[in-house]
Amino acid sequence: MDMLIQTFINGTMGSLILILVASGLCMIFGIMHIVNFAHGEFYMLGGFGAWLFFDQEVLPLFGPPAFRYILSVILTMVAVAFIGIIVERVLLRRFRGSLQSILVVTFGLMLIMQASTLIIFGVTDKAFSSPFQGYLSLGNFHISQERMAAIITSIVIMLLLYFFINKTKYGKAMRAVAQDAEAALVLGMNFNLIFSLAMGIGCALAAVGGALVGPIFYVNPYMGVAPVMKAFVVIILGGAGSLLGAVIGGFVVGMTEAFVSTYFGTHFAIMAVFLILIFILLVKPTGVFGHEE
Amino acid sequence: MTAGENRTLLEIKGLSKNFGGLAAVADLNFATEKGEIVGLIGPNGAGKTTVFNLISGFLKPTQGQVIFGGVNVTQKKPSWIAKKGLMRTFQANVLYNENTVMQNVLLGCHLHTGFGLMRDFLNTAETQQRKKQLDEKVMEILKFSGLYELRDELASNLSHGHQRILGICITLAAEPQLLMLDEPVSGMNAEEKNNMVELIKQINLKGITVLIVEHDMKVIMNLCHRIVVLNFGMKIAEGLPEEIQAHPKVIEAYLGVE
Amino acid sequence: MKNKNTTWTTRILIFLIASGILLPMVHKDPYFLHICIIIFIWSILTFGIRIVLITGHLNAAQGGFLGMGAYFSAILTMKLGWSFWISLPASGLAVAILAMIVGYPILRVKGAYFVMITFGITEVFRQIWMMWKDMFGGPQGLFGVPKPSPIDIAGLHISFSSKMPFYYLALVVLLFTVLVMRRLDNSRLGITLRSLPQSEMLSESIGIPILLYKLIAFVIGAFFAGLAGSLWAHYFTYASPDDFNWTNSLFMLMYAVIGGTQTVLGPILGCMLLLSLDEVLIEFQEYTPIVLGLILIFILFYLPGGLISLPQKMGSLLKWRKK
Repeated sequence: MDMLIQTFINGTMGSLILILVASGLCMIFGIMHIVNFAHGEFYMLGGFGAWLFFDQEVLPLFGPPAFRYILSVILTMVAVAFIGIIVERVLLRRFRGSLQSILVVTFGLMLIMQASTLIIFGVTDKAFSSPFQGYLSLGNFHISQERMAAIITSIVIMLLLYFFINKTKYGKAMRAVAQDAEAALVLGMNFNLIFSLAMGIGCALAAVGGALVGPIFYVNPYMGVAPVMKAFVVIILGGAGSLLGAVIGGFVVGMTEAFVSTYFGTHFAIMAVFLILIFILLVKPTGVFGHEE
Repeated sequence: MTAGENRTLLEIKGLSKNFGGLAAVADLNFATEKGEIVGLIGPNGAGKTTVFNLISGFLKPTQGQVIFGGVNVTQKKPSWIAKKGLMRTFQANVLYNENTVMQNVLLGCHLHTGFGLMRDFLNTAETQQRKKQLDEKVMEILKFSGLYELRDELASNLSHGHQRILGICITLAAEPQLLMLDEPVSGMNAEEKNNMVELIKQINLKGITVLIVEHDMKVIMNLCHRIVVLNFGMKIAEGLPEEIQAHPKVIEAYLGVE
Repeated sequence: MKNKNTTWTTRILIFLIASGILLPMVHKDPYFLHICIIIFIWSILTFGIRIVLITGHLNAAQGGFLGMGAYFSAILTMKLGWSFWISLPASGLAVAILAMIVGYPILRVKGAYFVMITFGITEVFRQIWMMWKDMFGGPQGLFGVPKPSPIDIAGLHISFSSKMPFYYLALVVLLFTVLVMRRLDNSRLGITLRSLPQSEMLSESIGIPILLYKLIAFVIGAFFAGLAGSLWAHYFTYASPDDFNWTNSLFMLMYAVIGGTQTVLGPILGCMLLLSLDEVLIEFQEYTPIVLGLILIFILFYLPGGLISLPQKMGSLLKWRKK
């Protein structure tokens, strides 16, 4: 029973982080139709950002540790969003719509980002701890404050995202573009701005995922590879461009992974995730909530 | 069965299509006989292209039947319907743009040549023979349509008019019994239009039944043996060109819109 | 214009083949031969991915098929005692059959979804190799795969313990691949495959069985991945799950796109350029991915048709200057 609850908590955290990364990917794909294979590298940058700002103290942040940590995460999100916007403007925008070119460009970008990080920071794993230490005990079982903080932060960010998409002018404009780009064009929306927003928010979401996971595990230049694969599975499960789908898909994949790996082993977990993917696509070639082209 | 019924090639029975509750085509009935040229006309948005898509299998009808050559082809896939000898062209110039004119027509021959993978690959004497026959067939079609001189050009380099002709050539290579032409003269100048009308008459003389959607009334009146008029997805008139020209409902439909 | 291009392709091809045959006689350095063997094996793989690419599908299962070929050949020789010379074509065929079974249901899936489903297939294969220890040796893989057994040709006894004979073996398999692909390109099958991504609607309307053709391309591609896998296992003498992952599928795609898909020269040029990069930059290993990434981006920006479109591009630039 304890193991079940423990697995459930781990699964919840895994799912929430995955949902963050996948929503970012989903936004970029839904709005710009860019399949960003370098998305995991923005997640990786997020991890390094948290490490730099909080653990290495590259900026003279002040205040209690918890405050400095939150500030570091926010700074990381802003910085990575900025990098993402530049990348989209300079590299990706012109290849929009050509899957083959996008794949090559983002793969090249992935290589460049991984290797640059490796050269600058070295190959060793960077372990650091967040200010939230110790355990919360609820009767018989315990949860680390670190994980609890990650869970709460993810939920807060997803709520903010939900609010932004549904209640603000720009969020509504983005939704309109995702649903019908042509109609949005007719309505005279500023596509440049919307693309930049989508890429910036998408990358910031990946970055916050990395920044939250960094202190729990560790940070290294290749940490983005595995999550981005899972994130792709999530958005296919959820249907491209559907944030609600990404949330549901994230829970399905995250929980499957947590439970299968606890009870059957890691290899089975990865296999289960991909078998779900294959099965879904065989039944519905455009994903669960996807629509026909 | 009477002799007259046997001449029917295509029969549309109670064909309907709803798009999210909106009826694009409603209870449409008409038939074409072998060897006819039938025109399908109507104001913009009358549902003509939808009818084409329904007949050729690109859209699935909500209700009704399409009978072609005595076979029910409703709900079948486009390639299955094509195999029965019902071909169509598209409103836009849908071609294999990165291939030459000759290759485009060659691809159209596919239906009647199969693909004999190994034969093709080993290049036996038989393959060579078939290849020669095939080339002759392609050349014949190109000469017939007047694209012979342009055979080595890429399809994307052709003029609009020539592209439209090439679109028809591809379907001709597939040897249709019934050819459905979706606005064959759209965007053409007067000379090109005359050539196209001539070409369609020639095609019809080969024994191919033609069903044509077109906005240009001069072309329609010049070509068609019989005309079906649609408005808001419903048939409002059917008859000989002279009858249609004088039909009050048709005049009203056109005047009401334009 | 078209004919001129074809003759040029043929000339360059003949030049490459001739230098491929003659080079080891002049330059016997085993390390050099090693690089060449690797380029040959990757070229075979890239040809396999290119044939699927021209039908409009980015096939990320190729890395998995490579692995299946390698494991299959290793198991046939090590556990069943087959000769390499039988297990080479056998693994090609086995992988082709596997691709037929896998391909039929998945080829309906399109675009980015196809990339993902084929990623998934490679990943599922990999987990199977790692979990099934008795058959595939688990995470360590299979070690001690024998080198090809010696053969006697025209009174010559050829043993494969040194690099040179293996070099020629890989070259022969590559030549076979080029021959087949060239034949395909010029045949009606090739024309039909190329037509598929241009307009499925048109193909559908003239009765071309799209799925069948896609399956044919997919199976042919997998067959060559199987051959390459067999060469791989018997060259490196091991088959490890780490070598056969989706990253490798992506690398093959890179080589194909960077080389260009228009003619058969593309995969060879792509592999030659990008794989020799590793050797040129050997002193600055950690910078290699950056240079590779920059080359990818540069070529996409300025040579969208790949390396093989370079002469055309140069030609049009010169013309433009004359004006």
